Amino acid sequence: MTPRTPAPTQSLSRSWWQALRSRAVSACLVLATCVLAVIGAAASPAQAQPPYVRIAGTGSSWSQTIFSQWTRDVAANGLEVVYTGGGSSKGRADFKNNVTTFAISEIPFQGKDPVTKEEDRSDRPYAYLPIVAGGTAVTYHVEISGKLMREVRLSGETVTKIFTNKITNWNDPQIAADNNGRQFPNLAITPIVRSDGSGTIAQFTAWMDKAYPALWHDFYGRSGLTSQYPVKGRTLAQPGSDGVMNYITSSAGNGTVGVVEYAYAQTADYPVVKIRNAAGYYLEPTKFNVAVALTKARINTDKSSNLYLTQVLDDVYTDTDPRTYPLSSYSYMIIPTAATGTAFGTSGQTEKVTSSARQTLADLMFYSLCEGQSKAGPYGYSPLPLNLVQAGFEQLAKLKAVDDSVDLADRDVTKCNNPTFVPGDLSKNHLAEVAPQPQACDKDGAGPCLTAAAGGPAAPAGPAAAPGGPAPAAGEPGAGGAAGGGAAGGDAAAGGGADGAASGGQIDPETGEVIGASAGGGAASGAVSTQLPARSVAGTPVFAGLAALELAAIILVPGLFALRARRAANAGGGS
Amino acid sequence: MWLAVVALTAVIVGAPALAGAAVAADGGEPAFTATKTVVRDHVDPAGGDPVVQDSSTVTVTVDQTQGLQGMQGVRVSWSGARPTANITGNITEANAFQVQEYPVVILQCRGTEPTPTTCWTTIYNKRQLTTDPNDYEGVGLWKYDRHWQDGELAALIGTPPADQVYLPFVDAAGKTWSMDGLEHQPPEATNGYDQPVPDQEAAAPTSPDGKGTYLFSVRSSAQNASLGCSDTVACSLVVIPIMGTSCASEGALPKRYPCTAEGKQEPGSTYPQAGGPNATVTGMSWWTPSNWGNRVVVPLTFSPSASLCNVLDTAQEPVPFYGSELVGQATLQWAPAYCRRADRFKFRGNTMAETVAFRNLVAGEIPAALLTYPGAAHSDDPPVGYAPVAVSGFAVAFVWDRPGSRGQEMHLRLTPRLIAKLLTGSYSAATARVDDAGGLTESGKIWPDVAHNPASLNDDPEFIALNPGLSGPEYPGTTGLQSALTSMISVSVPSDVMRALTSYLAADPEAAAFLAGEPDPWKMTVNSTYKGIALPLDAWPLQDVRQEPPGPDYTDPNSGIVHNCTREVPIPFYNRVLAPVSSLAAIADAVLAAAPTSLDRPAFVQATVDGGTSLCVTKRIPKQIYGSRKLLGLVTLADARRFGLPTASLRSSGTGESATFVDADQTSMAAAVVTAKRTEVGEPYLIDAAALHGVPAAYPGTMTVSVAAPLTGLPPETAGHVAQFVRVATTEGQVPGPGVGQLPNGYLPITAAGPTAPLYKAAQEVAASIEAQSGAMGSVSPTTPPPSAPAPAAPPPVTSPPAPPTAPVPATVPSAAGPVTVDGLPAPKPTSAAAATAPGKTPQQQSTVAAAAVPAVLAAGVVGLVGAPLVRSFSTRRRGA
Repeated sequence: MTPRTPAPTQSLSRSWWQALRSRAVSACLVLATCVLAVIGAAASPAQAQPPYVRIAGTGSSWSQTIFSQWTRDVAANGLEVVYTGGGSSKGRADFKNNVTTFAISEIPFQGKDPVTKEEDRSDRPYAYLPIVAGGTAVTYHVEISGKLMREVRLSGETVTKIFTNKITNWNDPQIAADNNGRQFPNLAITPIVRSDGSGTIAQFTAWMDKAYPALWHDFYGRSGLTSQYPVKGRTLAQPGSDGVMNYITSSAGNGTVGVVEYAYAQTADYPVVKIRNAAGYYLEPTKFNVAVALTKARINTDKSSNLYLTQVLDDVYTDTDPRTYPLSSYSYMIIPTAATGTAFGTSGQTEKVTSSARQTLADLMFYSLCEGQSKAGPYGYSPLPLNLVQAGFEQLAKLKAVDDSVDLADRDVTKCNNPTFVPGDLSKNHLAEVAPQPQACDKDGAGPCLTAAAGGPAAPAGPAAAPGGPAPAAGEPGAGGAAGGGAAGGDAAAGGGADGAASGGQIDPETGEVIGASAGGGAASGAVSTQLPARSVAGTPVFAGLAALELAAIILVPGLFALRARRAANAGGGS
Repeated sequence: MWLAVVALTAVIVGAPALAGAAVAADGGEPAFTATKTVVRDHVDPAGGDPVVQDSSTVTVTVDQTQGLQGMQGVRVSWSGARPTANITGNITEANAFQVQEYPVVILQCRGTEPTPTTCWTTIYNKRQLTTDPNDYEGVGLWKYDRHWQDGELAALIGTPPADQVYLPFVDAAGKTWSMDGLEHQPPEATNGYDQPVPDQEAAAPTSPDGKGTYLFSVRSSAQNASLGCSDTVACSLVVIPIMGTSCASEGALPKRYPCTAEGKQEPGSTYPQAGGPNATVTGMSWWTPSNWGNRVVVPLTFSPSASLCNVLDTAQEPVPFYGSELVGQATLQWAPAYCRRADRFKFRGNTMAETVAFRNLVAGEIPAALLTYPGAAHSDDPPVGYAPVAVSGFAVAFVWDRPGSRGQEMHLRLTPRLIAKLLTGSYSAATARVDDAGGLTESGKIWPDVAHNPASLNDDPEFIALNPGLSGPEYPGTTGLQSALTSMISVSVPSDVMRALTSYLAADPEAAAFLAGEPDPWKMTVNSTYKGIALPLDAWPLQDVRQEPPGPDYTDPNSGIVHNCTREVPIPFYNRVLAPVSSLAAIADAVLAAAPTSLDRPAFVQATVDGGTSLCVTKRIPKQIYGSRKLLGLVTLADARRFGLPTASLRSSGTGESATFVDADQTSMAAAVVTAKRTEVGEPYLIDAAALHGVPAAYPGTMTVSVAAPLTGLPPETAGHVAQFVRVATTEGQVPGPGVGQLPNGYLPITAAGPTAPLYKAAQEVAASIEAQSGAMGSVSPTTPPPSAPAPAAPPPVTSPPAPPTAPVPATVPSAAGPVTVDGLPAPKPTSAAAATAPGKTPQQQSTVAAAAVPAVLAAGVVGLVGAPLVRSFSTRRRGA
């Protein structure tokens, strides 16, 4: 056997040098490339992007409260966005008529408006992207002794019967039954709906259509949702969510009940109905309850479909999680996806959106989907889970697909400080995981929860609301002290301000403390917002040093080992 | 990596040119004045000097020209110009250029010596001329302008001669747009029915006395990138008093129509006039050499845009403050002073009803709120400290045109009682109709309580006595239902501004008596639904819910259903008229655009599609027409100043002849804030309307704004940020100016000495307690920590502000050697790299070890690469040897 005797020294040296040289050369080349790449990446300035231009959009008043705040926020970054609301129907119409750059709508294009029979479709190419989640609330104005009643709870069927004119007085026994015997005044009910084409109404009727089809079909005359509520009986219509609130809060409003996004009622400090979910609990549309509900939303994941990312809420309505608020939904932005100059439709229209407009829209939505979600809670909405944020970014990429000058670099969804972020699983919603359980007094047959801890004008001076605040059942996260579920009926009508949210007894999952008397509705379901400290790893010298050492070790140690092994082998195998 | 550091260092951010804002705020000297003699002269047939046919000596003033921001309103005024005839209603429309004789055309152009091709018009037909090649119609006489250069005209008209010629537009990128139709306009132009950027250029009328004024809304590149004005691209306003074409030699002129013809219509007449205008003297030819030669160029400079925070920056989590709209303009200017500094944080101001913000605050949902009045606290709420950070207030902004085309009124006086009348729907116009015999009509029977009252504000003797020359029987068209002003645009959500306004009303004996039901000296009484209303209030209630008489029924031909829109959409009449909106900023927009928020009656709109259901549709009433605008709105002072809206002088004391009326300025706000008091340490300083009532020099709308933060329960880092905000806001943030971190117009600076000294001191105390988070207000006199120095060594430096207003500059000049962090320790010296980041980049965090780590690793890799074979060769050599 021919030992592997090394070649003569000289040729060995030469080949060794050759080997080293060629290896060194190639290594240097690789190294140089790497270094240059690193430097290049670090030092390259952001590619020149198109300058911003003012863009305009119309649509949903449901989303208007938070969207208006986002447009104010980005004004500080030089983006001018004009959003004038007007209702989802107007938004879709303006978009398809090429009047606006974008639209916001609760519902996708319907094909044909069921009421006006007008076309509700767009030849202008578009895509949907979800922008925020929230609850459609039912707000009411019922006075007893000159004070507003609060903490009213109703089952979905009761709400449907009210809006289909089957229940017409607040003292109806079904209402009393929902409220576990609480007394209501003899006062006619006046439902207030929207006179303009409304996404809020569309969501509301979509729910009635799926959850209580017999009642709804009988009233509406056919099946399906509508943006234009039929005005019959005592029902009145008002323009815009502002108009609905103006009417309900006016002195003509005693007895009225209307449908608005939660933020409107919150801002006006008006109560919203606690609606019963499939588990038998009556809840308000807090950011937690909405987050829980929307874990059951089915999102269209077919990228080739025009309906990509739109929602099917059937399972939301029937979700049996005790913390769910059934009338939860997402709202969409409709963005233009055609290249500038593309013709569409039959009347010679062309896409007029320019690169600047696309860049402005992309950066506006990057902000809104990213940092903007963190303020959803305080404004009465619920932030999007990260998988939808990610999907939204991908829709924005369509702007770049038709216009390469749009700059979409550096968008990492996991860096968004989104309160829904669960590390490792973008589709999970942190808020849904930590959502507090409802109080026992919120359950059908118990309570009702009346904020004894002040809470403004509250309970009727009436019979003790049944078994007041029973000790919380085992399994519920503790029962803090405080009023223990609103205590025996009697009211402590005293004390100012705070009202709304069930106080006393509810534990904040993040701090373990009792949730204090809080906002009209869920503005504060009491969670202390956890400010994540900005943890910047870069610049932590210790970690950097350790990393350097490890890398060096990785490079050198195996070589040394191999050397040793070779030596041992040679020593053993050689003569 | 270090190369990257060097590269970034080399990219010095253009220091925001904080040109000392030569602002003539609050009635100071105008920033620009020029006088020019504009002529119309013709070639002398005898060959001598040109014959002057018409000449005017025009003086043009502009109130602000430096350090402007996009959408800012600057007031252009002139005198000595030739009066305009055939005056149109909407002076920004193309029609105004086409039909008015001798208007003053005002445009914004790029460059300090602009050519017509850099001047912006929102639509092509404001830069279009008819050539009328055979001179049949007399509208092409501009061709005979004696100042056309050789070949210029021929090139413009072309061969064969075009019917219409258009002035091209050259955008900021150098692209030329032919402007010969809707398809060849830049993106910011209108496409015929929608418009990204509203018109600003106008053909404004000159009154018969030779004077005129126009509020010009300037545009920066943020609103109009094609025009491209910014802090690095200078622009101008071009003011052209139109004198008409100066005609060429006699022989060249057409015989049919004289080129030298004057205007046909009477000065001061309104459009349309029989016979129409003489096209030679209209605004259409603003860009022809004669008129262009008569231009006055007003150089403008813009502030650096506030877009210094990168919208992509997600590294820092923001610390959000929620609440008052009063500090909206200030927080907009303050925000970029935080995001770009390593020793600060990412600040965000958000608008929210103050009561909701407070509820969120005590529930722990948000870290800090901005409000005026303290929230209603409960026993289980955390203790809250209030640190004053701004003095501003509310105002009643207005747009009101003087009758007879005498221009826009800039001064208005209002008493609390007049405001009460506007808010309570006590004027009778459009409700209580009285027939000729003095009896009540159908609608009058629904509102018998107001039937005897004046129809509207402009019919009210109280108003007419205070504001002569605006309305009354001697001014046709100013009274009666057609011109009725019966309400003031107001806010629908709970607001501290409404509370301050209603406190002002309650403190005035006349207004209080009126609201209680007593008639005023002219026998006017309050709307019965508001009688006895208890003030003050956070939100103005809509209490008049009476419905107007039902309109006619409509039978829908498609469905056969009988509709009655007043029955189906029964908006209470007063809701329709008052129509409050949900933000004060929206009200400023509405007044600026003269777009009332009132709604029309719901109207029946038949379905356009077979089988469709017809609807009752509600719309806002139309925008008001220039020349007959009258609209009032409740706004924040800062918004009014930003947009250039005139604000009413409110009665501060006295009644009748001896009353004093005060508008908001530094002196009057100082006089008000001197009366501010707090109930105890840590509570906000509040101005009491009753106390203010006896101070004639004080502006009644003055309000303080404080940061409210819990004194326990905040994470230490957040508490530090909130405290830092208070300290920065009350020092650096109180320096007046348009620059980053400075205080915009409409605020009274808070200073360590002077009338605001107690507020300054309180702010420092509360900031210390917020930072300490000990659960209570700390000792009353903490050592005031040195506030952060205005800027690190590298740009941007804070230039000295313009002549400061009456309030003195802070006496305690920060003596800290360099910036300090929240805990008072010297900040890490920002390396030049961190400070000199390119605009739009967040400063990099630097650490020498980290910076060295990567190269060290790479070096280790190289060592390994080279060393391993080397080591191997040594060992094999040894063996081999």
